[in-house]
Amino acid sequence: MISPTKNRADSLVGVSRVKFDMVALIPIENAQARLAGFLEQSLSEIYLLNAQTLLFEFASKGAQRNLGHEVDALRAMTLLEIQPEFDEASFQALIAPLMGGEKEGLVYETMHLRADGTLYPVEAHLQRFEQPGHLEFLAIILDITHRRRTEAALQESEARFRVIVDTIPQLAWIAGRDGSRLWHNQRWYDYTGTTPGEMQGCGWHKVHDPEMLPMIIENWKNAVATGQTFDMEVKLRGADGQHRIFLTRAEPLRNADGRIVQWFGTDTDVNDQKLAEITRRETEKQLQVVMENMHDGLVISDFSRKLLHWNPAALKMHDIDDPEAVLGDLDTFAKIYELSTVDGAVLSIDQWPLTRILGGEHLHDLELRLRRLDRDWERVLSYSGAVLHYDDGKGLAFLTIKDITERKYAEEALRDAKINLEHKVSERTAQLLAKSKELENFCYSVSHDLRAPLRGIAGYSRLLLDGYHECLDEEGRSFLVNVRAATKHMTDLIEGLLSYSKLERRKLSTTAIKLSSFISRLLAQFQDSLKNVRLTVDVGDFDINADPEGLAIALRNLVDNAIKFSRCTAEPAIEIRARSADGFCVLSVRDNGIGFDMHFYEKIFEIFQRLHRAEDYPGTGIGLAMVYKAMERMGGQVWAESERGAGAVFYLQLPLANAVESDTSTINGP
Amino acid sequence: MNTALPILLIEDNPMDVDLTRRAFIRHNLAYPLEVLRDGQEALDFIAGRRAGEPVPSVILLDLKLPKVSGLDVLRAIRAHPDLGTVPVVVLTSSADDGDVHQAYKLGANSYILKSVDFEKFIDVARQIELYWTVLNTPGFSKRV
Repeated sequence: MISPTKNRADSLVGVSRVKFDMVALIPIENAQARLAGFLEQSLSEIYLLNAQTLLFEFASKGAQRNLGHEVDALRAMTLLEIQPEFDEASFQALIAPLMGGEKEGLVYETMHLRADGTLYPVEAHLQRFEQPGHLEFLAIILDITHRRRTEAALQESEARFRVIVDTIPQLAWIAGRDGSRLWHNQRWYDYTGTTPGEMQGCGWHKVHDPEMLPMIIENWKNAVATGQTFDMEVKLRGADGQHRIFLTRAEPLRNADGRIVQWFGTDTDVNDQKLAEITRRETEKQLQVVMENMHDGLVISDFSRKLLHWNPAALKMHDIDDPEAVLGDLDTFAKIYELSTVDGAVLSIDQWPLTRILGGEHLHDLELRLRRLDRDWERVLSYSGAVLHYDDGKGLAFLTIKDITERKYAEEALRDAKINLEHKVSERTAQLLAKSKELENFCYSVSHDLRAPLRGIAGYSRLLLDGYHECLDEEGRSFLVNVRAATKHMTDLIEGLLSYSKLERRKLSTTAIKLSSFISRLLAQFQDSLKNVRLTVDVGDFDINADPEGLAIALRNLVDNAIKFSRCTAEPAIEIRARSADGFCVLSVRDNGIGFDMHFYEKIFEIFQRLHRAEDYPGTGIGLAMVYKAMERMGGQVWAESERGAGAVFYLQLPLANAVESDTSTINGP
Repeated sequence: MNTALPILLIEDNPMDVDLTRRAFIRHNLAYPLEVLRDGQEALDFIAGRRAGEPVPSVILLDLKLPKVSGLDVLRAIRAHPDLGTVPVVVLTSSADDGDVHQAYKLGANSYILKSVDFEKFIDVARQIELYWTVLNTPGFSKRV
């Protein structure tokens, strides 16, 4: 391998300078001989060789020792024999400028072959040496084994440095004295996704956050100018385009004189720590905001009962204007405040919420009265809290406080109002009961007192009709018959009115009723009057919730009506049916009688209302009112549909006894 | 017949008294009917009795009486040493369950609702008459 360093021609000039110096120092006749002796004895490796044949004409002692050849052996050898890296042609090409006289000398590095076959690196200085009649070359050989070793060691050390710098987790770089970047480690390129070419000079600007860049440049310039450590947080754009926060640190490297030669810089990724720190600070700030603004009071204490923190709500709840006055320990606080139970029993400081919490208790909504000892001030507060532990054995007592004074007052007011109301209700109930009793007595009186004269009318008209039959003519007797009929009607009215009022007063006993058997029993009472009626009963297998007597009254009246109003129909027919609807049973009684005009629908359930003439359809006008009243009392409903001359249908709606189960089965059914 | 024990009727309504009397007459039954016209009169009657005086065979008692109620009179009858065992028929126009219950509780032997219908009234009279007749048959009455 030949690597000629043509610019090194200067050193050859130096050699000739030695020659001229010698000329100046000694007489010319001695000089030749002394120079020859000097050359011969020189321990440096010096040769003279024929430029044409390349055969050695002279070799110094140093040359003989270095090569291990005797001088005689050397005389028979050419330069090419000890410089085996060359062949004839390559060597001729190398020395062509010397041969042509364009150059005085040249320097090149090659290997010398020793007699024992080993090689050593040399730097050869070859110079034209004109002799009368022929051209010679003077070759001065420098053994560069040591230099090579040093170079290799340097290269190795540099390589090791790069390996190290490439393996450290940081991005690393080297900048020149002037601050321009010379080198970046592999991590830099990996992280930034750049190439060495892009990073030359000021290329590093490109990967910095543009907003921060001016300041970074200024700081860097400042560091370069002053030689002070550069230390700054920067944002570097990664290969993915995202910026991360790095801590950049650069130290100057100085030589023995203390002059800055280079800068060595590292960029440490502190993004995660930074973000964590930001998050922590944010969380702290949020916590602070929450604490400052929360509606509940918060008091924090340490184990020595020192009150460390009061949030504004807590201060307000305690009517504290000056926090310094109470932010001592609990004992200071106890000089100003007194705590007692809601009922007024004063608590000792050992029974105070904070003391109990510090004793290990967890408190939930402990309601206490807080009183200021120095002025007329009292609130009712609700305390909750516990000791919260963190780290090892460390902990704080947290006490949250709600001001429930208003609620407490409201509760008391409500309780008073309730007592008041209860009192009023019982008063009213008593009044109502008295009224009801009065009404009952009234009905009793009516029943007794109205019936007594009726008995007289009925009794004496009967006696008259029986005992004085002969004394009256036909007309007189018919008058008496009318008197008796009127008496009968009056009696029915009174009885109806009594039943109605009784229905209103009587206690209900709601129970599950099997509809089918209930209706057959009821219809048995109508056996005679139903003789000529086509009766259809289809009430399924429903159980309903009703008061048996109330239901009987309602149904009896409806059946009564159905019979009465269909009596004049050619083929009287009555249908009693039942169906379920939304947890209710709808029972219908339909007849094909004379029906009624829906225009009068509103009137039919009113007491004493009649839509037909008494002589056609006798009645008191109480029946449907009874039905309505009975249904109302049982929480059911009654309604009707009809058309004049086209029969009527009355519906009763009552809750099914097993409504819940049947609903469930519907939902869960297929 | 004069030895027959009387029926005591405690009734304020004169028409009812007359109709009762006539209902009995309709059965051709002549018997002594003593009438007391209000509750106070009844209590006085009870209080004024001498020991050993003959007791009525049956007492017909209206409940709604002026001054003192029929139930109070009934209580007084049952508390009396002689009258205590005399059958009492409550004859009233009140069908009130409370009255019926109370009357039986106080020792009424029968509770008959006064009917507006005279025929039914006569029926009642006949029942009472039957009872009276049996009671007055010599050798039957426990009191004779």
